[in-house]
Amino acid sequence: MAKALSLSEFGFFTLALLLISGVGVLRPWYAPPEGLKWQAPPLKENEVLLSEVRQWPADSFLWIDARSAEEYEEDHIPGAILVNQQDWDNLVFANLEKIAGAPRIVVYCDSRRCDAGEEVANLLVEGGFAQGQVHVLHNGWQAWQRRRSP
Amino acid sequence: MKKWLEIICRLILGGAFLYAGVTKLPDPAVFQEDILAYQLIESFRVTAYLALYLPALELLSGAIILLAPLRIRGLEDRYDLHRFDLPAVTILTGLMFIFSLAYLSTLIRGISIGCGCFGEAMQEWPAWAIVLRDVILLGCGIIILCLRRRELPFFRRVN
Repeated sequence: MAKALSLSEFGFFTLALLLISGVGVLRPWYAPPEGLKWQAPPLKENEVLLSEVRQWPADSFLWIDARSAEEYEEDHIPGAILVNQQDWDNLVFANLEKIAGAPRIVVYCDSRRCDAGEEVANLLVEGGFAQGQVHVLHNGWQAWQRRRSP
Repeated sequence: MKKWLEIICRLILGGAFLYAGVTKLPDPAVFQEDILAYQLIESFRVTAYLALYLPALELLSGAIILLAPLRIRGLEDRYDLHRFDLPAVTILTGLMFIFSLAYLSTLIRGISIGCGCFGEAMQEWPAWAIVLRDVILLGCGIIILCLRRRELPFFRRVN
């Protein structure tokens, strides 16, 4: 059986191990890894922050939920209508009046990792909306869940 | 019997972390996205450093707990790797504890994500399988520490 470690030895070897692993952190200096983000990426042209949207009058825009029907059923932003790609034709047809009558539209999906919001926004623009009329909510549903009450 | 139990636990824990380190090391950008998906740390700078640091720590500690028990004849006195052994097991058990808590917190908050533990692999595992795997790995770490408690400084007085 190996000799027992004293408390200071144990601490020394634990710390040494933690420090030696720090070599990994030096990697950007000798082999910069691709795609690692050091800062939050800037907003895309059509992206809006939740704080901004909340200053708009409620009747000046329409929320569109681009997530799945199940997620929408579970919970969604009050007043939002479900329009996703999976069932695009039916959902657009069912909500045609609301969509066509909206001066502005804000689309959201789950978080910054999903593309559904962006894709639905593109489809809306293809369908005849002007670029400046259709926005995507930055961080999507996640941003809404984390909002502070006004 | 106890010897074999320890060997099995070492193979499972060390193998899992060695594999985790090897799969995550080449692509820190993917691992950073996985960390961000937990929604526990929002800072891009901090997650970037973690994505570089954690795989290195997992790889190194995993390799040590697999290699440390090997004794090279004639080198026993000069070869100090075994001194890193219990510190490495302690670090991995601690990491497993933190990872399990982080994963449980996503279940409680209702965020559905793969765990990101092994890079792209095993992303499609159901939640119960990930929890079971975490429990097994955590158990392996604790078993090794218990079997070796006489060599740990904290329990010296008890024995």
